[in-house]
Amino acid sequence: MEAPEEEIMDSLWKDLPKDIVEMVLLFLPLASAMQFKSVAKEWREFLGSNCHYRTRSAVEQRTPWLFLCTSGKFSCAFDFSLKRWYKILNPPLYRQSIVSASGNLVCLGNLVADCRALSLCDPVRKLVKSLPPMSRIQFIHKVSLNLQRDGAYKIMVVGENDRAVNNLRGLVTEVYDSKIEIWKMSGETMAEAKFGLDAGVWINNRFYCIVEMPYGVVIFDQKRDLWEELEVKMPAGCNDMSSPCLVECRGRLLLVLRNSSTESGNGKVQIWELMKKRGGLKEKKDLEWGLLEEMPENIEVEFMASSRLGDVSDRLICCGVGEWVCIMTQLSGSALGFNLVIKKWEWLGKDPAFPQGRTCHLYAFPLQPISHCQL
Amino acid sequence: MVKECKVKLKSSDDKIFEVDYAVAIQSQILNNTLGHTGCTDSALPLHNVSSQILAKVIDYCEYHVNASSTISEKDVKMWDQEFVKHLDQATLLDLLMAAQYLGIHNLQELTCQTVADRIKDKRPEDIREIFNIQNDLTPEEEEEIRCENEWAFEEEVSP
Repeated sequence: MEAPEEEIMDSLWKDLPKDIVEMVLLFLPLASAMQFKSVAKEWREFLGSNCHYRTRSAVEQRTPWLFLCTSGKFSCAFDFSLKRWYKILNPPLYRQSIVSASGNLVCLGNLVADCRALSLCDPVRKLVKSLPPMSRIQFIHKVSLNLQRDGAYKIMVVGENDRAVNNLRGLVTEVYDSKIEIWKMSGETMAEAKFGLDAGVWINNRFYCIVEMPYGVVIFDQKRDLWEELEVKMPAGCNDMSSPCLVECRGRLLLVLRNSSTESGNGKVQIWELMKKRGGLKEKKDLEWGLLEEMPENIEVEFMASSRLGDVSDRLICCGVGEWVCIMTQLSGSALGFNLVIKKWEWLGKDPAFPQGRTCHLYAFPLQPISHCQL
Repeated sequence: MVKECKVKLKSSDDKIFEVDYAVAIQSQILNNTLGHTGCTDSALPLHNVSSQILAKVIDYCEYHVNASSTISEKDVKMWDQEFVKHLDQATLLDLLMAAQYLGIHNLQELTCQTVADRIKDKRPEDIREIFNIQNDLTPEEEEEIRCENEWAFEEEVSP
C-alpha cells in the first residue's frame, strides 16, 4: 500500500492514545508484530501477551499464511500482507514430518512407515504435544486435523490394522477428540480405497478428499461417523484429468486439476467449483462441478515452463488461503495465487526451500499463526 | 421497519449535516441514542469530530448502507481502497479515532488496517522515532527477542 510522500509529523503519532496504538498493532502481519517487540519494554510485554494474541485472532479478515511444508530442516510460510516467504523451523521429531495443519497447529506423523502415534505442534511458538497412540491403526493412509472455532480439535485417521495379526480386509477410521483426549474407532471399515496425494479439506465438519482409479471424491461425515461418495460426475474423464486437488476457500469446495481435453488441445490448469445445478430442483443432492476459472494463456506458458506437469513425476499441490487459491507443483519453485474475489492471478515468488531444502514430502496448508488454540 | 426520517448531526465546529436514518445507525453510538430518543429535529452534537472528518465518515456510511446487499464484494473492496488511498496521515488518524468514537466497526477496521500497512515495513528503530519512544531494552534483551522470533528477523533471500 502506498503512503503519500510526506514527512512524518511527530506530534500526530506521539499523541495517539494508547488504546488506538494497541488496536493498530493487532492489524500488523505477524512478522512485523514480532519485530516490534524490540521497540521498547512496554511493546515487548504487550506484543508477547496472551491478551494481544487472543485479540489478534479475533481480527477475522486476516489472510492466513500459505504454509508449504516439507520434511527437511524447515518449512516455508508466505505472508500475503508482506508478500514474502519466511523459513519456519520444523520441529525436530524423530521420524515424524508435518502431515496436516489447521488454524495455528500442525500435525506430525509418518505416511511411509509404521506410525502408531501422532504429535501436534505450534511451529511459531515452538510448542510440541505428543498424543496418545491410536487404538488399532499402525499404518496411515490418510490423516487430517480439524481445529474448531472454540479451540477444540479432532483428528481423523484412516489406516491399516497391524497387518500381521488381523485378517480384516479394509481400512479402519479413528477419530481423536481433544475434549476427551481419546481415540475412538469409527463404526465403518472402508473397502480398500486408493487415496490421492491431496491433503483433503474440511467444510462444516465434513472431510472431503480425492480417491483414485477412477477419480472421485469421498466424504467423511464426522457427526454421523460415516463415509460416503460424492455422487457428482467429475469435470473431466479419467484419461483427461491429472493431479486433481480439492481446495476450500471461505466455505466453497473447489477442485483444481489439469485438463487435457480442452478446446485448444493443450492441457489447461482449471479451477472448478461444486455448485447447485442451474435450474435444478432445490434439493441438496442436485450438485455439479462448474468451471470457475481457467489459467490464462500467458500465465499458463510461464507456469508450464517452470514445472514438469506433462511428466508423471510432477503433480499439482494446491490449497485455499483466505480468498486465494494457491497452486504449485512438486518440481517447480514458483507458486501462483488466484484471488477469488477480485479475480486476479498473481505470482507469489519462489519459496526459500526450493530446490535443495525440499524433499518429496511436500504439502501446502493454510496456517493462521498465533490463533486461538493453546497447546 | 426502516425509518424514513432524517437525522441531524452537528460537528465540533458547529456545522450541521443531515443524513438518512439508515446511514446514521451504522454508528453504534448513534444507533443507541436514536433508539432512546427516536427521530428528533434537534441536531446530535458530536464534540470529537470536526466537519472535515464528519463529511468523510458520512461518505463512507452512505456508500456502505446498501453495500452488502447490492454491490459485489469486489467492488466494495475496491471502493474502500480508493477511499483510504490518498488520505494524508493526519486525516487517516483522525478518521480512525472518529470511527472508534462513533462505533463504526468496519470503518475502524479499514482505517486500522491502513495505518498498520503504512508502518508494517518499518524497522524497530524507525518505529521508535515515529512514536517518540525511548529504547529501554538492554542489548541482551534485544538479542533474546531476536533469538526467540528468529524467523521474523531474517532478511528475505533473493532467488
